[in-house]
Amino acid sequence: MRYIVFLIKTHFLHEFRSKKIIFLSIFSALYLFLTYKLGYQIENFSSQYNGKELLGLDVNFIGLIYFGGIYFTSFFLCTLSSVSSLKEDLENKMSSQFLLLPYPRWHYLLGKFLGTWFLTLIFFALFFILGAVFSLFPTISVTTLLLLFFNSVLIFPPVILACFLLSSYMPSLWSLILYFFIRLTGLAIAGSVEYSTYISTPFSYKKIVFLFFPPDFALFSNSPFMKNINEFIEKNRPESIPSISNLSVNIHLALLSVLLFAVLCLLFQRRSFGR
Amino acid sequence: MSSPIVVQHVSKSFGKFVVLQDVSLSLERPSLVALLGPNGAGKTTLFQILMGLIPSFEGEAFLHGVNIKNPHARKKVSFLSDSFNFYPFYTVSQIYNFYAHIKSPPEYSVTQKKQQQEELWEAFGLGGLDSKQFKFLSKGQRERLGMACCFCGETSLVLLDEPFTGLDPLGVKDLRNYLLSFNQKGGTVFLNSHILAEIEKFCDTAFFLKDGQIVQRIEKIGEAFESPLEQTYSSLFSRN
Repeated sequence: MRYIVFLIKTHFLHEFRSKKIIFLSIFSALYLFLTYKLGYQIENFSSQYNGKELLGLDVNFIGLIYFGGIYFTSFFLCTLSSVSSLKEDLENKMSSQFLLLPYPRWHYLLGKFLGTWFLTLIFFALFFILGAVFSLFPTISVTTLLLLFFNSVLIFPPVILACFLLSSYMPSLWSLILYFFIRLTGLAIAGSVEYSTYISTPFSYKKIVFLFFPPDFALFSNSPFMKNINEFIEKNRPESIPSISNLSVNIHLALLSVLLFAVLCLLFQRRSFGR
Repeated sequence: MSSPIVVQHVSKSFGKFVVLQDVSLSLERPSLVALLGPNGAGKTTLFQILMGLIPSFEGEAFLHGVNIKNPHARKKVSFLSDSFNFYPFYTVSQIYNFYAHIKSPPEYSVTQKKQQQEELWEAFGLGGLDSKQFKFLSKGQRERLGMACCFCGETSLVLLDEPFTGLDPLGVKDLRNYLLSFNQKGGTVFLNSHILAEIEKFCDTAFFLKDGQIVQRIEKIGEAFESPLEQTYSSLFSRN
């Protein structure tokens, strides 16, 4: 346990010294300020002109803009941090140093993964809470906000693991470019083909792309498989638990994370750190 | 008590290049053992196989009776490669404490850990470096810290790859003395080095590795001084 905690702490200390987190924090703070000011202007305009909308925007739209912004900033932090985290350790032989200790190799990978995930979560949570404090989500309930947050954070693990996989076999910059290329291809395919047709395809390149590089969760909601899971959950859900519309997507993402972690562990287990 | 190291028919090749060929050796009791051979003989590869850094090889190997495929085989074992590396922002005491915590059994008290740290600090001349960050340490200081991390906790077998590189004459002397005292307490040291004169001073057994094979084993080096290592080394590995 101490070993994994040490790896998480090390990742934090290392990242806090990097320029990317400083740059992204300044960017997010500036973004928060600008969306807050825009929201203030819209409200002011609306109260002055009896509910008339400024440029056709209402206050709810501000929440959406802000959430999208911090989600993608966190996403960038996640990918940038993931492609360098394991790669740097492999290059400066810190991986070998840790693998000498009497723990299985997957403990090391788990420590690196949790370090990257927790860092992204803290960044995302911080700006998410700041958005709530600055009333950028005025009409959304606390439960919905929490569900929105929970749905978003589960996107990051497959991203981290896919970046780990790519970066451990190629330079960081190339793995970043390749990751975004495949991800965008995945999104384009998901947008252009009927998902039900896709899911019934027994084996194809598209399927592999989809499996390893998840598109954003909204695209998954249309699959019959997800609909079935959703219906099952809805039927068996106790009344005390609120409806979770994207739970099926979360299950998919969790399964995908487990699968990617297993693949990564398998490859790492066979990897030679000798020469 | 199980043998510190048992290697049975280990072979390893990288592509077409055969590095180790049916290597077998065993150390039955705690001892100070040297692995000698020219560059490219396969010494480091053998150490890396023993420490689990190279997972695919032919044959079997055991550390303290546990197959090296099991991570627990490394529980009381340390390895120091030719250069000790760590994250640059950690201080000397933070790095040591990390290793000490992992390698010490749960029953070790804080006082015991502190006492051991003081012993190692004294042995490797690390006094006054506690709060110095790793990035500011010289090569020699890094090596000394690596040594201290190697011997902390309940380590009973240490594999050292070229341990004298980067150490000043006093550092070499400190290391030699510490290895002798470690052996007296029941520890085993398995090292490789090209400094034969130094090995003659304290090692009791030597294995000669040539073209990936163990070609000779010399016992009681110190006592059988009429056949110095240099002479054996020259006769085995002469380029003429």
